Amino acid sequence: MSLPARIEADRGGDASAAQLTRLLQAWSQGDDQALEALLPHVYSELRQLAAGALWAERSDHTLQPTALVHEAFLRLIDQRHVAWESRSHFFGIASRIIRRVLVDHARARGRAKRGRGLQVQLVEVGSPGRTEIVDLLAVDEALGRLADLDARQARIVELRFFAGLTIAETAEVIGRSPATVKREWTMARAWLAGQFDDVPNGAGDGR
Amino acid sequence: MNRERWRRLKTLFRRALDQPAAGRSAFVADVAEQEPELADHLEALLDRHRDTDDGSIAIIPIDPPAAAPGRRIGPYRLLDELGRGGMGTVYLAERDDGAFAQRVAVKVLTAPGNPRSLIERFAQERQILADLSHPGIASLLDGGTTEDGLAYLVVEAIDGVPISRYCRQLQLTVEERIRLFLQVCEAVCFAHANLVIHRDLKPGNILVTADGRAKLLDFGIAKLTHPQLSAGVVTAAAERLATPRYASPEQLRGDPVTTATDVYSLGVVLFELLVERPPLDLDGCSPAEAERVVSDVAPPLPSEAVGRDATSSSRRRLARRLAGDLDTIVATALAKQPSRRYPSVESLAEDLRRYLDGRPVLARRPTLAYRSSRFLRRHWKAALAAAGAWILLAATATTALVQSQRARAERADADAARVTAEVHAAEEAAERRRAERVTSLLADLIEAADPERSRGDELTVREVIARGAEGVRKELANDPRQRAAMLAALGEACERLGAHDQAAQLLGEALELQLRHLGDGHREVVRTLTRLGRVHYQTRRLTDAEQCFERALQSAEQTGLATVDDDHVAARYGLALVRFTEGNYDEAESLLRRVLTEQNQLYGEDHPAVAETLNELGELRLERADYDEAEALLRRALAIRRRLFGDRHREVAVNQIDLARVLAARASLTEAEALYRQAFEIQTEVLGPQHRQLAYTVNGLGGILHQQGRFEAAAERLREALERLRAAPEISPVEEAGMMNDLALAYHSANEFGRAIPLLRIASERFREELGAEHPWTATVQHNLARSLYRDGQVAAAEILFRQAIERRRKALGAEHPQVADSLASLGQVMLDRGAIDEAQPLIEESLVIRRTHFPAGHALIAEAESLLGATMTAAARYEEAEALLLRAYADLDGSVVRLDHGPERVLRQLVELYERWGDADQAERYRQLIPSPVPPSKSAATSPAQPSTRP
Repeated sequence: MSLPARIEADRGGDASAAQLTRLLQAWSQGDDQALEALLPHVYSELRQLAAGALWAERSDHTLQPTALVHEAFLRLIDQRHVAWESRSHFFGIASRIIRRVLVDHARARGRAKRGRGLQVQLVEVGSPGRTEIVDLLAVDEALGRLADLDARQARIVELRFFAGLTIAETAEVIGRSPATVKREWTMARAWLAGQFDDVPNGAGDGR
Repeated sequence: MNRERWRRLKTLFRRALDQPAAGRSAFVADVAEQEPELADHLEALLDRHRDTDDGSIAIIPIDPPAAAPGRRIGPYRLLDELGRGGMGTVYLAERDDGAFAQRVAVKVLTAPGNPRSLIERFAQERQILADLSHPGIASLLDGGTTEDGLAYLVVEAIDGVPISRYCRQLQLTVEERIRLFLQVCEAVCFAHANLVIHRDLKPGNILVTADGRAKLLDFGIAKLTHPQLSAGVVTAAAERLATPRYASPEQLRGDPVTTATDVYSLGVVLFELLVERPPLDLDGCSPAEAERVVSDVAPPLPSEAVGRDATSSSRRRLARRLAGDLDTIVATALAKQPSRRYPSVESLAEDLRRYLDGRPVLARRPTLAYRSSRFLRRHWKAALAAAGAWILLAATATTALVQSQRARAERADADAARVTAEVHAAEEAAERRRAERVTSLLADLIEAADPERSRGDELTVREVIARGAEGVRKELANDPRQRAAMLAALGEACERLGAHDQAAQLLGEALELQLRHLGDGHREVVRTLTRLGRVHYQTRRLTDAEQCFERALQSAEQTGLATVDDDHVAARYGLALVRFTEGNYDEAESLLRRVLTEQNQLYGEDHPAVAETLNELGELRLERADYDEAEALLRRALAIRRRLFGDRHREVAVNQIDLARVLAARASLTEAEALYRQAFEIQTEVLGPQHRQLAYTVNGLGGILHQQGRFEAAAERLREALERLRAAPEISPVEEAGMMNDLALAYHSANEFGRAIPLLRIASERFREELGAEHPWTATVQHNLARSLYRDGQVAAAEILFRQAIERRRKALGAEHPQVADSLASLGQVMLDRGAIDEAQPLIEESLVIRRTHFPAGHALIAEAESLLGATMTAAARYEEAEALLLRAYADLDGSVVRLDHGPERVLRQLVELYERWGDADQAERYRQLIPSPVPPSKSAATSPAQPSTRP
């Protein structure tokens, strides 16, 4: 019953992709303990990746959360052995972590510069031109307000913004039908659009 | 705002969206009256509401660039920003150390990840890239890092525009575009020879200078900046490539990247240059969806893509120009599997040069003629009929899986020419005399050609014929007419022996002589053309066969004979088979009807050729889903054959199986099964237990089990059938793919989508390659694949495939075919899931109308469409209508023997949804109780929210 090698690996920070993959599979099949074991790895990987990106920030680096989440997934998980559902679940937790990381970064930066935090573009992938420039902290705060009114909607927005999930993937993560997610998303998005109206648009186009 | 009011606002918002756009302001006015405090909020939401979005959405932080014009990087001073991409920003720059003035492009890298490792990698690769010195490649001059950690590359500055824009702006002709593209190929070839793969070929990386020279940028740089592209990545790669549009399936999947990847990307570029739009529409796809689309969806052929929106005559001309060789070349470059593409960029370029020179291109040969002659040989039509017909029905009923089985292979095995030879049975006596004459003449000729060998018995028949032909040519050198007649006779003998190459050659030689010496409208010409057409048909050279038959018919009309004769009818029959095989059912049918009339005049009713024609017509009506007519025709054919051959004859068995397919299609399973068993017995007795035909028969029985809902047993039988088939000496890719499809359908029914999808992918690819994208069977396999993808939750790819299937089925089968209804209903379901009621409703209604005309009232397929329509009514708040539809659908599905994906329990869920929204909690609860608790699922699929229940 004892598999010393495995225990050691789990304790150490350097679990193999195969082990993490197994954890992810176990978790998406309902084993919550597996999540406990998985989370620290995801957390540290994302932080490390973000730090790498932050380090490079001075040199015209973007800090694109979806890219970071994807990268973390690729580094941690052996994708040949995970179902699409497991991938969505991974992105589900990662979206929350990356939001935290980004907000921390924006706050620190805002303090340092005594000015705006981090401007972000909301980009619809595949719909060029549909972008909106907003303040990341404003997004975070608006999401907080939305969560007070409707936790599910806030979660949906988080998944879509910070992990770049599609409707179908989001539905998989929160366990609702795509139709429901689509309905909720439609409303949340209309509401959020109203929240950003106050932010002067075009606050910066990157220069 | 508090949670309670938010919930209320949510309800109002949803109801407002359910209103037609015109009714919304009235609705808001109502709300303003009754709930004034919410009206403003509602209006604000509606103002900002946007209807479309299904892609993903991302946040991209913006930081001011650290590099900026004016800044110095290394010895270079940045001048203007030229552009930005996924990997960084490009500046025009000038060498600034006084050494010498040189304009360059400096690319400041912004690849994600740790730039330090990037720089290390860069140092390793730089030398290789620097060696890449070619006039078509922008050379890499320098690179390094600044003190503050900026990584940069210095590249030769190119003053040019992207190749696609260049072609458009200058309105280059097809030929000019190809010549330009060849320059690109040459540069890529050079790099490949130096072991450098580009990995990111796209128009933006191919600039054309003012003097018309193509220059490639960023060679090998993708590997530096996206090491994942070589290391293996799924979505991240797609995310970071500016667009996955040019990435190959293996690249998006993260499989190893080889030169074949560049071949694929070049294929996409070539497609765009020729068609001026991308082969696959990836707009609005998330990276993951893009990956699935690129892996699963077959791009249209260039000529199709142009033809689709060909309104102007110039576009139509272009479509004609592209059809044929250029289609083949592009399709070969764009094959999903790297091994099916051109083996090198050089071979792609070679084929383009051949095209320009008017020489035959090589690509077609491996995919069509070559492979078919190798694999299909004699039995290809048989194989097609066997595999394809089965599939067709299988998918018709979205599960009303129907058996089919074709015994043509057996017949073809025994005697390749027999099918058509029978048409000429009336001439048998004459033929025999003729054959005797030929034989004796042959003997003389052989003797004359080689008297010493003539008594030896070690000669093979083919050798005899070859010698005979030699003799004919020698002895009859001065009598071209007689020479032609003899060569044609020898050609016929070869056809019977299955020596098709020899036959085609001899018949062709005869034809040439006859045309020269007899002229067009001669009976001998008709006969030779018909024979030659048959040989082409049997070796799957459809276009050649078609030309022969058509020309034979023209010649026959010129002979001036008052009535048709055997050869004339045979030519028409041959043309009908060509049309049938192409999937052109309209023309095939009218030809066959005419053949039947003519045969009745020539031979009366009780004749094998008449039975054959009736059988073909029956199959055609079956493909057309006209089951009454199909059944009548096949019973007539069966009766004739029984009278002629007795009960235990293989023709009878084949006929029984065709009839069983029809019966299965209308769910008369008991009689269908009985017919199968009889046929199985006859075949085992007549053909022996190892015969490949039994693979089809076992497959057929598997289909019946499937239809009876015994999925596990069905899968077992179908696997057995596939094994039996694979044990056969020579199998065609199509027949194997057909059986894979059938097996996949059984897996699908058992909710084992993970096993179904890979099989269907292979089958779909094979069908497309062997039969073409326009063939109705190809559409069928695509529909099946879409269905499994959908159930597996891969909705975006499924949607695209369903749309394609609708389009192709309409074109091939007519707008009112039940298969069109299947694809319509499936797409309707997808739209319903998405909440796009306005789009779902017309699709479902059209499907329902079609099904009502084809199936008896109460049929499961009608019930399925009704329940989908009911769900749209629920969503549109038309509750009474929804209730009527759903209750009827439930009753019908509950009592049906046909099992669909869409079973009674799904209707129960729809009813629960209806009553909940209607506000009748009691009724909702009552129906909820009726939903059977899920069977302990073997896979998560049974409870997955991706299941196509319309509204869980």
